[in-house]
Amino acid sequence: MITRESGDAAGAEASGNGVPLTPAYAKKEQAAIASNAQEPLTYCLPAGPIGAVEHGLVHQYLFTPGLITIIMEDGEIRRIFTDGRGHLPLAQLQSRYMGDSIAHWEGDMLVVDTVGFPNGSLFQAGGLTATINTHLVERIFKNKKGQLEIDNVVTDPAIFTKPWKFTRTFQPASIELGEPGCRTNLRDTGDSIDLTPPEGS
Amino acid sequence: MNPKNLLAAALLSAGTAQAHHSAVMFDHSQCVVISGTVRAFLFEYPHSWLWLTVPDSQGGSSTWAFEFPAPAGLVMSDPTHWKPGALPKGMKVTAYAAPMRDGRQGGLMNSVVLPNGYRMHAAPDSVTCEEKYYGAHPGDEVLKKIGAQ
Repeated sequence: MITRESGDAAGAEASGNGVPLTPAYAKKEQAAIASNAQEPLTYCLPAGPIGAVEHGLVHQYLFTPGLITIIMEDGEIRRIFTDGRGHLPLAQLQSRYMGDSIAHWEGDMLVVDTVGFPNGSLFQAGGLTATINTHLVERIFKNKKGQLEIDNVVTDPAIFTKPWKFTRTFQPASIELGEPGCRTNLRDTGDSIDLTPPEGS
Repeated sequence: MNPKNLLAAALLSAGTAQAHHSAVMFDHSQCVVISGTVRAFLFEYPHSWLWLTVPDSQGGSSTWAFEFPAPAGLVMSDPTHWKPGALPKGMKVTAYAAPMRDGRQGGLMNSVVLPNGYRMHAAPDSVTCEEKYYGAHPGDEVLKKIGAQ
């Protein structure tokens, strides 16, 4: 079991500190932040491959022949195919949150290539999502500290002026993967919350 | 080519304890101290919650509600103490929190003090809200205390 230990350059708060946004997208992001736009996860919608692990979601990797499945605490499931297939045509991925992920091994490093996740959130705040042309490459490996390390490179000509690179590391967690509770514990309503105690308490 | 070399044993991971929604409803410049009895505690995604029954000066009581990070975030703060049932119904605790801006009885939890005096923090930085907003050693006069102390 592993838990996130540190990361850098991820999240809207970091976008002004190294995320190479195009002027148009930086303006869009500022407008979203100014309007206090919410991200998909606020409404129990999937966050996507970048946004999901940024939200404190416990997630579990399952290895089966030709397929790696990542189960996330909020009920999202990400499938990464390792059977040698290519990407599906983007036309078939119009409403994806997780996109189409294929991967191969380079020694003990898993290299994951993902395209077509136009509904997947890119940053923690602001409600900004990927486009149909966003391309994510993750290099996942066990570092010298025994942690899971993921080196990410994201490209999209509409969003970034150059590849956006950042690293996330994870370490063992002491809790089990919980049941999805978003729908039953959706007390957040944008800028307010429901304080009502549980029924029967 | 061996997945076991990627990570040994079960591959369960968690992200940071980030809020998944706006926090503008909380007044982060304030720190309230609420003492009461646990009415309910939810240790779950996307946010953990604590409801306290808090006595008032007229001999009655009312309920206060506090939002926490998801379990993954809490265990990063204190892996030994944060767990399901960590705050059982009936336990007397003191909560430190940023209160609701709209005046309702609730807030964003900073930390919880157990009957034995142990303080469970809701964030990994372990900075108490009274230290954060009122200085390293705030006097009682700056803290808004509610309920039995």
